[in-house]
Amino acid sequence: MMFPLPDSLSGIMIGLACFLLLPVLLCGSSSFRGGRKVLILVLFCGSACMAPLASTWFGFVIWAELASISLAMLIAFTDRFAARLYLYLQIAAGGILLLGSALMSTPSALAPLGPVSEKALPFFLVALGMKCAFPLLHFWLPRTYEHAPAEALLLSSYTATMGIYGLLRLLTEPSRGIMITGAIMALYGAFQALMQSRPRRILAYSTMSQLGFVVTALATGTLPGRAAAIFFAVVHVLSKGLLFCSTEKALPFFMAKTVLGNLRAYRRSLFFFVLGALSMVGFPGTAGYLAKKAVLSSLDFSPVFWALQLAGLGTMLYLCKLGHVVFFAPSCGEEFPEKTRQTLVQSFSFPGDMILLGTPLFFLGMSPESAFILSFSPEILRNWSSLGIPVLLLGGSLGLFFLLRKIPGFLMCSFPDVDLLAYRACFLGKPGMEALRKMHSGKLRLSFAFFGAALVGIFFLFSL
Amino acid sequence: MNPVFAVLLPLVTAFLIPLGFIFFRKALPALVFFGASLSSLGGFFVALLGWSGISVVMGGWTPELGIALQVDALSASFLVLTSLGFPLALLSSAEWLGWNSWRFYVIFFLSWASTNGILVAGDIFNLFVFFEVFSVSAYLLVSFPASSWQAVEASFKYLVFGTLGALFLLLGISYTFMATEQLNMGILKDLFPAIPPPTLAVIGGCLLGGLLVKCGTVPAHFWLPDAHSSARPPISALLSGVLVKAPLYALLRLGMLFFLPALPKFFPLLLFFGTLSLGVGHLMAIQQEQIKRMLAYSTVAQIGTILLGIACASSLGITASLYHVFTHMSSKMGLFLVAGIFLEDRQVHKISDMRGFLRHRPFLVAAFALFAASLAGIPPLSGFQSKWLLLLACAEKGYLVPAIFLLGGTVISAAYYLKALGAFCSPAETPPPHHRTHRVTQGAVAFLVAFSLVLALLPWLPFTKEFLLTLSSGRFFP
Amino acid sequence: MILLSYGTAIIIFAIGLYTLLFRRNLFKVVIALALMEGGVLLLITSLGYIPHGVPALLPLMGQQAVNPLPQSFTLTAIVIGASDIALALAYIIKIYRHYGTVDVDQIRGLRG
Repeated sequence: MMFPLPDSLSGIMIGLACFLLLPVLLCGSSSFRGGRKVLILVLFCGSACMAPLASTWFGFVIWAELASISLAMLIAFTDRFAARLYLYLQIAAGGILLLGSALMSTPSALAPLGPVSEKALPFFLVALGMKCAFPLLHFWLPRTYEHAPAEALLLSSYTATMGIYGLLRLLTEPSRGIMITGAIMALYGAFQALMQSRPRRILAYSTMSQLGFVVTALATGTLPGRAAAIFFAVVHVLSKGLLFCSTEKALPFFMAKTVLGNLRAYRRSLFFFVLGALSMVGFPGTAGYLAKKAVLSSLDFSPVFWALQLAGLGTMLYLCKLGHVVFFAPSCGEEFPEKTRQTLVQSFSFPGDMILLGTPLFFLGMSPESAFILSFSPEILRNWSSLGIPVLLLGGSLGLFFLLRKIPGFLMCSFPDVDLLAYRACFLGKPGMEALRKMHSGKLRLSFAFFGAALVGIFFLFSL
Repeated sequence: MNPVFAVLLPLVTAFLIPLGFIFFRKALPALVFFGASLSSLGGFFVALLGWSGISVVMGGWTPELGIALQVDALSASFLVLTSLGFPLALLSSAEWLGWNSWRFYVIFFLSWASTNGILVAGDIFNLFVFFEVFSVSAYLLVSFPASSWQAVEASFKYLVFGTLGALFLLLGISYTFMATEQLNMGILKDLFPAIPPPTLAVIGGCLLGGLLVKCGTVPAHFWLPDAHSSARPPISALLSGVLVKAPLYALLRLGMLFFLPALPKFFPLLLFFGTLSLGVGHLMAIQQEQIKRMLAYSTVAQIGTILLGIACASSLGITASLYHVFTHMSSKMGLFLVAGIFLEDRQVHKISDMRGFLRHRPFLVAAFALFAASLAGIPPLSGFQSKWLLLLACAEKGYLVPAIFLLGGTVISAAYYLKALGAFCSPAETPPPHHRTHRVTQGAVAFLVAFSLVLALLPWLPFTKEFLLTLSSGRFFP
Repeated sequence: MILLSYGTAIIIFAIGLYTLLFRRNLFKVVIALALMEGGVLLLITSLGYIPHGVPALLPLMGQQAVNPLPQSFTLTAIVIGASDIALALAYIIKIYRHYGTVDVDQIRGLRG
């Protein structure tokens, strides 16, 4: 089950990183300021290419942290708070990975990139879970995505994939717990995405849901399952990128459509959005269909399988909601900062990035033999007969959406989530900090009292 | 070579400065710099020659009666630290404070001599004497010049707290003498396990209490933020970078020589105080509004980090703390010097008012970012590597809670350094006027940047890999 | 070994410690430091006592002298203590000029 290093898994990750460079450059070409962004992008690409080549956990952490830091710098161009939040979280996750790796290394023999001992496993799972948005560890996801530039979001789905890469190296045996976690992720992500009203938040929870599919597949521990996991992750990066780019450019144009009449740009964004949505949902003919089929066929008919089918239904529903909110609803686009709106209005010229992202999706979808990774699960390449069920499912959910649209409050509601709790929890620490400040109030005798108390404690402990 | 030269050269310079001022007033700068270069070279030579171990008793007395001086690999590393740190601080303070007051330079060289004395002391009473000279010169350095009431108040509080600690230290030393009739550290090492446990408890308590005050560990750290923030910037750099390391060396030496075989409970207790320092230091630093006070609380936290390594009491832990000592010295000295220049430019007190520096002093902002990233633990800089070594040491001993505190400290220190950097990089309505160009200080900052980068490369060079392996084999103490 | 000497030394040290913790006048703080130092030095000097010993002065006339080593420490430590006290008193004068009071609890300019 183990892929030797450097091997096809590393090759896929490096290929994806290099491939993403061009769409990101094209997508963000409007807002480059003096080449600083290009430098940061090169740093990101460099560390993202070195990370899959690392043969120890220590090396992996170094490159992954460098990539996250450069991504945080990119996000900081438009939203400093989200950049800081993302940075702190990634540093924390990297630190916990380091601790887990330290539990298994000695100075001369660093822990190799592979399965770890029982003692260190919780640390690895928590750290990689923070990167991949496991449930309860995903609280950074919605807030980071809200105002970040689209190119940063493209790269952030890549860093989530790096977390998946880490999990792939970590778990080579079947693991029931991780499978259930993946199923919960998929369902919860779909549910929350359905309950949001802001497009970026919908996309954030959608990332969580899709990663749930990937985690479930890799937890099967079988070779077809792991192959399906990495294939799904790659397809997810491409289709999610397409969704990001098309919705990014659409919003000001919807407003501009009524004002400036830029109908052509609007239709172009809508076309690419539908493309990305079809791939994500698993419409036959796209790579997403193959990926979903690979994932589902690597599981047997257990509750997890039905949970993923339900999540697939939810995917279609929230994608319809996203399309409605972005392209058809009357009032949207206010939450975008003025600066972004203006740059986008002026710059929408050639959708090169979206074409670059969309082409592989169709190419892989139409000729599955070119994706060598699918050779691990040969039966899905032959089986065109079960086309009927997915199409029926999609049509049914489309109809369901049109029904649900009538419910008042459905379109504009927003459900609270763990991230609110996380922010509230910060306020719990306030009395402690105040007490600490009071201790340092400059009273000399109070400091003597603390020192005296500590001395008494020291003497007592030594005499035991 | 006799280790006494490391102490003698700065001491002689200190005594010659008043004479030079009286007779050759114009030549005072030349005398000071000549003396500084001699002392620095002397320190390097003693470190180099003492690497494999020197032990000397002054005046031809026997080891029980005479003043013993000894150097080994650990002392040699710390001697290199002082020989680098003091000249840098001297250059910067010569530019900042001028040549009007010769008394400052006398105290500076006395401080240098006594710090080197702590590092080469071979018997515990000599250690105490050098400790006291070190402390008195530190009190005077903090309060220079006495025109600012903050400096005087900080210095007074430092004096009272420091003397309290010194008295407990002296009490511990006298109880040791009472129990063993010996003062030489090499001889005491063998006699300590034979001391009856009640006496050992009292000795351990007194020595630990005294050294905790001197090091600036929670719960005896209350003097440190006041002292390090009220001093002049080059003196703050010296205090935080070099002068807090000498008590840490003494703690390391006494702990490993005396308490490791005799009173193993010493080290878990040290671990507890180190973790507490880490937490309190970082949590207080993030609440500060003045930049020098924030950097001083960060020093408290870094001292806690170094104590974590010492408390692991293994060769890996000591290597980790040693590496972190050097990292902290290069980064914190640079941070204080840059912060001092910015404060002088803007003349404000709050961090959020210190804006607009990216355009006017870009090199210094970049240097600040490098030092802050190194201390916060960003790969691949030296702070990250020392953090990794500390994590290895803690994991080896099974100390998981301190390791988690260490990781939390990384995140919190990233937060407050980013706050400062964010303020520096935000645009300001009025550009900060350059009061002085501070060329020499900028040169010192450039040297520290280069030193920081060399430190980051050091663990990968074959020579230092061999050094690490000899440390791991335990051939470290006489 | 004279227990009375040791006891006195420790009691003086404890009185100094008590004064440091519970008295608010800055001068009393300095007196407390001097008291504590005196207590420790008394302890050190009494450590060197040998029964039926004469003071360690030459010529010895063949008798046993008390241990002179602790006495040399005491001399050094007295010098150190004297410089500490002098410095502290100088600081108190400066602090009084700024604050107008010698109450330790009022001297809290640096806080937080």
